[in-house]
Amino acid sequence: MEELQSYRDQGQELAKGRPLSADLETLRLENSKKLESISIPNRKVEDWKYTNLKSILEKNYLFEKQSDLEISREDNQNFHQIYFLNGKLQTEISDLDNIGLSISPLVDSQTDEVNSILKKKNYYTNDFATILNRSNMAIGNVFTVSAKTVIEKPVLIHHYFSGEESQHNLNNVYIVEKQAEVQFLEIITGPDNVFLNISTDVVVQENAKFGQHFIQDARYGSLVIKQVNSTILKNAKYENSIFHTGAKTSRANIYIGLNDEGANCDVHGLYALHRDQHHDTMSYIHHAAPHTESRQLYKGIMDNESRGVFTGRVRVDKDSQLINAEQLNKNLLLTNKAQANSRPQLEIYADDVKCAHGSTTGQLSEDELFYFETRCVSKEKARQIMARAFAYDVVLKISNLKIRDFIKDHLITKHIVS
Amino acid sequence: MLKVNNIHASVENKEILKGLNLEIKPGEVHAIMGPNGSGKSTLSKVIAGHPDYEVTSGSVELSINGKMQDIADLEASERAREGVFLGFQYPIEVPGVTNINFMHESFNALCEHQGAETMNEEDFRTYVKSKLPILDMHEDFLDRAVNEGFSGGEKKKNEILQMLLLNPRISLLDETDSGLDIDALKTVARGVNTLKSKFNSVVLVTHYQRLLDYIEPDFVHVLHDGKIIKSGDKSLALELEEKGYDWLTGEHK
Repeated sequence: MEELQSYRDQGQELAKGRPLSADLETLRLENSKKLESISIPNRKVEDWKYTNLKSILEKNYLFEKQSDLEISREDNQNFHQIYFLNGKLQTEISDLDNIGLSISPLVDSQTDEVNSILKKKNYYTNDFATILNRSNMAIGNVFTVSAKTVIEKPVLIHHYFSGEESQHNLNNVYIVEKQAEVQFLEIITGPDNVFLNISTDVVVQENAKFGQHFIQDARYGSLVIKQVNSTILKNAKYENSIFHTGAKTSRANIYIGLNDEGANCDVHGLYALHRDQHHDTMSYIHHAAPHTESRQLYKGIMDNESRGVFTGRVRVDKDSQLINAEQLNKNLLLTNKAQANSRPQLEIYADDVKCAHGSTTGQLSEDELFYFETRCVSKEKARQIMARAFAYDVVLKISNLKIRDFIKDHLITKHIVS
Repeated sequence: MLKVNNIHASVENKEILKGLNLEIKPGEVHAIMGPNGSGKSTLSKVIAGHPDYEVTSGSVELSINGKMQDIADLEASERAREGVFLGFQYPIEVPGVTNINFMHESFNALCEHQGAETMNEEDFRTYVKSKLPILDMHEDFLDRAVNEGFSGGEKKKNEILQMLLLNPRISLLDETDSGLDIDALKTVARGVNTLKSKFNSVVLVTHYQRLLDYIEPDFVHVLHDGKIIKSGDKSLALELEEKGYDWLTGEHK
């Protein structure tokens, strides 16, 4: 369809300067072709029915609008720090020596393993975000923690994006090898209104532990699509959470494949929205092996005229017996004009499983507010305390205390209640 | 200290208080008794400033800075800061907020209002801990979510703990004795008696005379159909215990 023509052309242009291996070039061309036949997500696309991107993408975000930005290193002793600008590693201000983590641009690290991760098919293979992302390769990086490496200090990764109305399709790959352990906190931010479509492809190998947390704090006028495609192998543990506070429109596509026995994931999220912000999370947890576990808590706090959407599917394959899956979505509406949509979906083909799911949407309780008031606390302050408590519930799911504290501070500075 | 002048109050357009008068002086203990539905709980909520209760006529005056003032325009939190405390019949659970955090916010809001220095977390914890033995409470309570999973007795003790921390000038205790066993009742009474002084007044809203064995009232009022129909000293409570309310409400009709 013509409406995505310019995004397709940009991908072709981009590929000229960045040599891809035969494998990835095939993948790119396949997706470039698909881009011709799909339309921009709108009401008629089931998985996007609440999030219409038509008017936003007509704006024509361009790669060439990316611009330079002066970034200075923040003082923070609690983390190793890594900086990126528009997907490019900023070596001078990043901690790269001897921390046990290797980072290299995707174009320089097209190993068979990396290629197969990017080619892997899953629920989102034919989703708009994936197609656009894969047809616009390959800016991105491969993060590898080699086998048995344990990185004690959490790693704070700053992803800056700059250039008003610039487009960024980023393909990031994370490989945490056998028995390795690492915790990431990644912040998506920048001074300009941008269109980000970031794919995060993850493999957590046998007995490894990977914590990967995100703060999505793009500038208010931005459009952000965050994709997470994670494969969890035998007895590996994966923690993922995304805190959306930025962007006027944001979307998360989450896919977690629990592919071997003992694979285990904690996948959580918070969307704290103001004004006319719109957020949409689509989560798909795939129990593809017996004895696997997943826990999900997604919370939304909607102020003013904002809207939060959650669709959570849990799929349990026929042979995936004795799995445990929990999913909960809770929404707090702070005004009468705020909206929430919640769609929990279970698809269970095994018979001996434990699956719990739930969804609630409500306002702050008048009784609780009055209780605070009779204890000298003003209504405004009470609202703030209660909304923060609601949000912190998600923060408390994060096992690393330094990451927890960082996110708490972020939520306070973002005034999650105005 | 507090004066209720011929007050009429409604909730959802239903009139509950129908011309009620009450005067409370510093240091006094008043007991308000009466059958179900007589307006006892409404009275304490109206004084505390619950937004659902509309005062249609009459006034509530509170002594502020040594002067009696109409408090109609004060929000519930402002009344609380001026020294009005409401002990809830059914204390509210606040998931996600720890008890210590709740009390700390409350205490500091009061300090700020009074122009006193606020307390940091550590000092506040020490201060709260000093009050726990009065109520036979364990420190564990401080780190649990406010009232969540507390037993009936624990909730009531928690109310009295908050009262002791805020040191209010007038405490309205709404059926603080309901659901308590005799030991808990004694503990709660001990808490209230700790606060009592010639500066602080207490209003006990209760069904039963039992509580008054432990907290001695100066006045007992019988509320019926939104009005006080009889006032007396503590012997009135004993009389009610013996005869019930019928002889009074019948008399009134």
